[in-house]
Amino acid sequence: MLKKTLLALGLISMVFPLAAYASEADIAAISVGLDSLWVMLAFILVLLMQGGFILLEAGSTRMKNAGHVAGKTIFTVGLAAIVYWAVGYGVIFGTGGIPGFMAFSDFFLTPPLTAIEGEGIPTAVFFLFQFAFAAISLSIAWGGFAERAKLISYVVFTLFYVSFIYPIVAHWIWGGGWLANHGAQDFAGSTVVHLTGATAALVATLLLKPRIGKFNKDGSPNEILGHNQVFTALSVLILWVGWFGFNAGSTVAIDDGFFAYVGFTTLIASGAGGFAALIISWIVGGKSDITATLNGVLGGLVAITASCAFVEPWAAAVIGLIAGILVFYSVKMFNKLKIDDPIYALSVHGMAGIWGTLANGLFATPELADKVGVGQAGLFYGGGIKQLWVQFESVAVAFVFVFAASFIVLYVMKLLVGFRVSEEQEIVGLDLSEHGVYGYPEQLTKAE
Amino acid sequence: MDVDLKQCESLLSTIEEVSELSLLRSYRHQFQQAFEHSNLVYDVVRSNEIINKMHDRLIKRSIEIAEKEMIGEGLGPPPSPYCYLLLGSGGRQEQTFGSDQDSALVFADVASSEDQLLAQQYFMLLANKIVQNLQSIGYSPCDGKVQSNVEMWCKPVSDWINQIQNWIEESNWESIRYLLICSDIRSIHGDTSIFDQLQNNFYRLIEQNSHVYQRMIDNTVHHRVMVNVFGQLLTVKYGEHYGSIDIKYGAYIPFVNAIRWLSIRHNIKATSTLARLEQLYLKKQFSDDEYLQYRRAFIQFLSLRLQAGFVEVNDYFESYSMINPKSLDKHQINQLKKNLQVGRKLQKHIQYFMRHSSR
Repeated sequence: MLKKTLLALGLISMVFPLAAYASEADIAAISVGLDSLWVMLAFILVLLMQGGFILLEAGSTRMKNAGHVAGKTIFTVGLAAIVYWAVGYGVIFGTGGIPGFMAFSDFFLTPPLTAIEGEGIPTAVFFLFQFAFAAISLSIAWGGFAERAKLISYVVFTLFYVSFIYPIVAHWIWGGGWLANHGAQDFAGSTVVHLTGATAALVATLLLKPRIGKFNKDGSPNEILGHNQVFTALSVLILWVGWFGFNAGSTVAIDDGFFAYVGFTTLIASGAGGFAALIISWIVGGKSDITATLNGVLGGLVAITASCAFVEPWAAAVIGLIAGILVFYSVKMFNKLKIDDPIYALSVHGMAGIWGTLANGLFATPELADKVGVGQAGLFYGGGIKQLWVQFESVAVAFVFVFAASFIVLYVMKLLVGFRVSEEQEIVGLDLSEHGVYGYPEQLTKAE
Repeated sequence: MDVDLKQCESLLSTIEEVSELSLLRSYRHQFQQAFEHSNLVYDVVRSNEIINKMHDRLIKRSIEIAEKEMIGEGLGPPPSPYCYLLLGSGGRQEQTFGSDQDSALVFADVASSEDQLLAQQYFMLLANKIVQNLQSIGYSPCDGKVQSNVEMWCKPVSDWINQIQNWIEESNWESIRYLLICSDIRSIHGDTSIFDQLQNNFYRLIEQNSHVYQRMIDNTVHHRVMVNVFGQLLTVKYGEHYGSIDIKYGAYIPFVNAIRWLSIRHNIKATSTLARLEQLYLKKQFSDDEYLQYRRAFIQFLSLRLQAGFVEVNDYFESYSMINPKSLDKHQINQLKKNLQVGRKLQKHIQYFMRHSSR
């Protein structure tokens, strides 16, 4: 027995020689390498969430727009990469500029080839990860454009949104800006990514006005069903998986394994969100609603995004439950307000984003606030009203800024080049009118 | 008594004398107009009674006219005694101004099979004429083909009983539906002894095959009462009826189904829901409170069905089944919410009753 143990130990030390003989510098290098690998993996997961958005948008809209809806996500992500490299990254994480408001350097970034000793993960991997967030926020905004915006508007909006609108908010909260100085807690971006995207979507849908046939003359809404509920369900799964990169990856380090706890709260909240939405739709509507359940899971994910590193498991469950119910009622509310929200972006990313950010002000624990090093404990943990106020401030300010900035961009664009396709184009579908081919050529004919 | 009500009543007796279909139609119009202006709308039970009296007389006259036409065309009088039957809302005496035709015909058995065949042919011809006549005075044909001029619903009494026996044995979704339809049968014209024979056998067979009770519940409970556990109305979420509540399928039909089921279960042969309620009460199936609650609820559903109104499309009268809560006052809405909850309770009651009575 003893012989066997010694033999095994010997073999292990051959396989992992560093474990036995590593110097402190080696350990630091390995640690940076592992952290980089984790962030790279998280970047890949978050980028793959675009696949979720492709299916979510395509599944929730009509067949005649499917190719357009799916394809435009790919090209806007590509365009966003260039714009983010050229401008966006520098506005968030650069130096100089207007202190607290925006940075102004590192445009057309040339990152060092490797990690710089003592400075953590390489800039390149940090850039990749951060870019993926900007791209997600952009894809959320497209929810307000769906099924009626001109293709050119996607190009124009990408340029402005990824270079300034998103980066300015991200700088305030993540880039050492003024809200960061106030102690605003938004771990992975309930406000920075989700509310910002949803606010842009709101502006777009208000300026575009509802899709043809969404509301009757007397104001009563019609149901425009998505063409593929299986796509929509699959999209939620893809987003759900990706979200573990989104939230847990936001530790941007492996360190002591805290990222796993972040993933843990993420899971609890999303499950609670889906469950709550299922039950509330069942109770209130008489029948359980699949779309509501899917939105509930997403709502739970969006809400926990800000608070995943700041709250205890029970609080994660409560945050998710409330998000699920909130999203359900929010969808009803937008219908009542006659605001067309085809992908439910306003409810899922907007309302749940607001709730998730505010939730920190209630549920953040002193230990976790300390650990993350941002802000302080929430109302239920003896922190008083202060953190809740800061959270409210960041939500309100981000909303007002993004609303105003997006409005200016989209309104001017509407005046100069137009925003919405013609009635005929909308009826015939964007696949044909914008691209000349159908996404489902066998099933649709030009005579439609 | 107000003038319009008097007019309604005088029209009822006029209808009995009419021998032309076009006149029947015009009297129907006049009756409907007089009714709308009368104070009757405030007394739902009375309204329901008088509306159904009108229908009964119109239908009876249409049948008599068809009989005369048969004779006029040289086909002669009916070869054997027969009985014309109403089903659905007609059977329950709960027709609105826009109800369609649900009907059947049963005739006495004939000795030889050859005569039987001839009789069958005769009655199918007669039924066709009756259905046509009714169409011409505004009764739209039945979507579900439950109509006397369809062979399945036009048979000699022994075949009828066999058919019922078969339905009971099959007990699939469709045959159970037919059995439920049959439990609302009422004779409107002809030899009622044949109808009695049919009805007695129906209840005897059901009683001998108690497995159908559960199947009958399965067949009907999918119609939900349109109220949620918070007591909020479940209204239409999208489209032209946005915000409305489906009074027919979300309130009236589930209630009718539940009371019908209890009546079948207790061998009650009455067909109108109010009469069924009363007999169930007399058989001590409900407490005083429950009886009053159920009665009140049903009366409101009847009243809202009338209030939902009707429309004339392609020469037929059709009922609306949607009511927009905005057209009701606060008291009515609260009452409706309460009554729908009573309806839910009733649905639960029959399911509970079934589970416990089958043990």
